[in-house]
Amino acid sequence: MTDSDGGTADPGAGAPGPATSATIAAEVAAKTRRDDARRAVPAPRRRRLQIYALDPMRMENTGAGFVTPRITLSVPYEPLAPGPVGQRIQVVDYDGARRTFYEPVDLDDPHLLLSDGLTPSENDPRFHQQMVYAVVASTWEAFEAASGRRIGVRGGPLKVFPHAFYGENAFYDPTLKALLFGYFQADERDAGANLPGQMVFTCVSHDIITHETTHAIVDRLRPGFNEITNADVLAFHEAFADLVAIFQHFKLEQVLVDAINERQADLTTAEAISGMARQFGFASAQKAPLRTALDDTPDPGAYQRTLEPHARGVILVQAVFDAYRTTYLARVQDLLRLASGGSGILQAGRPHPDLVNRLAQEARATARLFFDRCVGAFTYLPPIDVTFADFLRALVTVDFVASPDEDSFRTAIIEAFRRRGIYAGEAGSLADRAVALPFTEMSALLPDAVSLLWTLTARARGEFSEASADERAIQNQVFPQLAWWAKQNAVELGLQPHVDKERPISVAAAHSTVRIDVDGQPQVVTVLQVVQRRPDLAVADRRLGGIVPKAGATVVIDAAGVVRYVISKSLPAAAAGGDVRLDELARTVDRFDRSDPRAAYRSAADGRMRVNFALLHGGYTPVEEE
Amino acid sequence: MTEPVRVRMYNVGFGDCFVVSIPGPERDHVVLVDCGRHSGTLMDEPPFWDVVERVVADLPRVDGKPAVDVLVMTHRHRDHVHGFSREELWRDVRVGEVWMPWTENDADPVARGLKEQQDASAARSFHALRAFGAGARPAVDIALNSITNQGAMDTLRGFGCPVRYLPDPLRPQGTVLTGRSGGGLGLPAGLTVHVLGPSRDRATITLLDPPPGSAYLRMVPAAAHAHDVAFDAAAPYDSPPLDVPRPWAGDWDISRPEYEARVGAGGAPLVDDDLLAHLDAAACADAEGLAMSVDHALNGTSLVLLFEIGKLCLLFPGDAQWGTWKAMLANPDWEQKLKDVRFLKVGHHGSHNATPVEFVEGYLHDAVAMLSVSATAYNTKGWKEIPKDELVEAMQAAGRLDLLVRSDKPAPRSPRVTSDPGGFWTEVRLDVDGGP
Repeated sequence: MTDSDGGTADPGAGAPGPATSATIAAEVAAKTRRDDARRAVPAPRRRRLQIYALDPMRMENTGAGFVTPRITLSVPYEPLAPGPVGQRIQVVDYDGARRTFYEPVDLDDPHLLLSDGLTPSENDPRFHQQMVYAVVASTWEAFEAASGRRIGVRGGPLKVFPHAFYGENAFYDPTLKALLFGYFQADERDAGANLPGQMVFTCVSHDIITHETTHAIVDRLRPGFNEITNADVLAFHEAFADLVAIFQHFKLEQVLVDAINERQADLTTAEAISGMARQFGFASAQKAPLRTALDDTPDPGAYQRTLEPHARGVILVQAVFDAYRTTYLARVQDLLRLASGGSGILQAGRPHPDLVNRLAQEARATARLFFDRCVGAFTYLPPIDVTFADFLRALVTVDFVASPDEDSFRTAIIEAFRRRGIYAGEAGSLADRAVALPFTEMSALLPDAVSLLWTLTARARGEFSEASADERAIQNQVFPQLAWWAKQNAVELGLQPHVDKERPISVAAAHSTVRIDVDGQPQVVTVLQVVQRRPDLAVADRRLGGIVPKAGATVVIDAAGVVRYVISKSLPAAAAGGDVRLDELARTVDRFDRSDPRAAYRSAADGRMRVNFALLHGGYTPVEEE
Repeated sequence: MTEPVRVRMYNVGFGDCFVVSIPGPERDHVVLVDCGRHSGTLMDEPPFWDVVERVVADLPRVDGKPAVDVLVMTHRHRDHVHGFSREELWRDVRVGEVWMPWTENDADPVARGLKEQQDASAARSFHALRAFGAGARPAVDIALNSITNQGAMDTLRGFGCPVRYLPDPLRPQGTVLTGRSGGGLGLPAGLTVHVLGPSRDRATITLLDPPPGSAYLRMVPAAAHAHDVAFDAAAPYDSPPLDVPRPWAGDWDISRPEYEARVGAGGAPLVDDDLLAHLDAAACADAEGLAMSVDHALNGTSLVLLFEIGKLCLLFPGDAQWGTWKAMLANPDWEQKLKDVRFLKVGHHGSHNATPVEFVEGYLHDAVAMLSVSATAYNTKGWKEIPKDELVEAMQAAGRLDLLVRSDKPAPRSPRVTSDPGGFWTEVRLDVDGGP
């Protein structure tokens, strides 16, 4: 084919003129398209990529010797440039410590397409790029499946730097919207199963990748959680990311089967299941995984005493994992009785492979339930200032909405939280109905905005592209409407009346999604995150050191425009003292002023009270115990 | 009426240098508290070494030589000791006693352990941060501040006089030193010193122990032991950056143009200079966190001294942090002494984590405070809250301070304040009889 160069280049044409020539060119193009369509095969739905099962340290005795187990992950297909660079995930291998780029992997190379990508190797940065891409994509997909909508398609791509720096750390940077992974030499004297002094890459640890990706996703779900406003905020970030990493273990078939063979029915006690970042922990001479979700003897006073974010977060992880274990063991009781002639106690040794498969199935299904509930809980979390109690109420609420008649999940959750001293303070009772958030019937009168939001959700389905012009037009139309509504209803939302500059109200985020209700009918759910900044209080209350406090409300609206839930974080009209949230904010600011080594050098405007995952993960946020 | 005590604050920029002069029957007795400047002080006005020469020149003479009765080093930060790193300036000075916090005592195994950890962490963060170029300079300065400052320490230990490590390990909660009469050098008669910190309790020691930054340990073992030579050199930023070895056997390095050609794609470029600069800054956050942790830990080792002369109490808290203050304020024996304080050296150049609100609100009244700080230490880049406005305001609330003298502001007009016409120092006179 030559491209059309006007009629003069076509001597055979009887009737000269550009119009005719253009018509012919159009016909040829149309025929080519038809031919292509006949020849074309549909784009694949999935791409398979090899990764390490957990991390390179985990060894397995196959009988023929020790091997590092590897598995193949299946992730959604998208065309990839070398990097891999896709629409939403862009892996860029720039090493800040050595100031160099590394050769990028081309996952669309036919050889790699045929072989499920490169074979796992610590010595090939291209495999690192492949693994980090695969695990980020897989985690992202899990979140979208659990929340029933595209997450952050419009928020710009997530950049991933697998060898960003030298150091025992990895973190999500909210300003760059990027994941940064470090690498470091393992301890020379005590490296566990690692080779002393070997290079350890955080970007090939399944747990670390999942943990960091979760931070990036939470940033898109609740940008307001980036402000440290109470003792739970940092701990919640860490706990939630660990929970996601741990529940993702259950997607790794071989890890599950090994755990059951090792521990029989109660696979939760296997380190590969309940441990976090095993290689990292050993390589840094900790002689154990970084953290564990397992805790047989919870201390109900620990939550009150413990302020260091990781230690506090572990309490939440262990509470949820405790509920998981209760639920899973209840679910497999029948299987165990069947397999043991009624006693429920299995014989020593490896269980029958059929039983192993059934147990693995139940473990996976239970993990999926827990993961779905943890992600679903975000619908019912406030837009800012999250606490463990908020998470407890949201978990119970989402379970109530999804499964009103079957209460085993929520009773297990309430009990596991109670054993660790975490209560829904305002509920006044441990009954699931009391812990669930109260229902409202406030009429929203927002049907237009709700249906516009729904249009956006429907269009985002299956797309990985930038917002189109008409989508942007809808956004430009809908957000002012929502903001207007929020200002009109400020008091009902637990906010103070809107005042420009002093008490401005804005809609930080809005989305809608659809789920199938218990009666089989589609239910459109719209969620608004309304935030009110309070510069007036920052001026009036000197204890806050210039930090601007915020009030806010998450508003859950049904298809008819009726407000079903309002989850508020209120602030008083004036700084009179004695307000619970302001006092907690003042205490938190004070604690960081005293113990955060950066406090002296950073002002409020420099992000002194914003979440900094680099320092958090590096252990540089020492918060003294009280 | 007894002659007033004088406290002179030398203008060292971002740093501390105080001289307390106590009139005696034969001569003025002198306590020198610290002498240093932070490398983060951007303006050299007045030139630092000229200030140090003035400090020595202004000392009273004993047998024709400049003399210091007690030389106090509150903690081993460059902004408190750098002036001693040029030994030749101090060669003629005769010193009665040198006092340091117990954490500097190499014969004490706990102190040695802490110091090794602090030195190594400072060196590691310093080496790691230098690899990040100009953007990391404020953090490099913070790391540099904590580095052993060995040259200065050698000077301080080389005066040929006794060196005391305080508080006394046998009386950690109540070391009190009383002066003796006589014309010789040393703690003068009439001066009683209460040592309020640093505490030796386990909780405080934990705060003094920075995170190990172990990865850097494994990367720079040689450098961590050879830092002294390089670090006191004139141009610490020009030293070669951290040499991170290639993390794998093969050579996969490619240049930015090569990388961009590989990735191709007609869309927006994946990386630009701005992103790489941001990335470098984000990537050094880990080392920056380590540097700041060491900074915080070393501040926590500050020797806290309460001088009692007649009815006058003067408090020199160094850069003590909340851990030390908390222990001090919890000690019932010290409550009245702290309420009697009429002179306060404001800790850590006025940053808010070195002067707790509990002290300002519950203890401070009718006092004179001196605050040594530079107007030009990275004020445009960070450090905007040193000194912290809210703290300064709170101290100036009615009844708390009679006078606040800041080295970055013109001295207040008062018959009790004298300023050097050349801008080298400001001095306050304090009555020892309790009168106005």
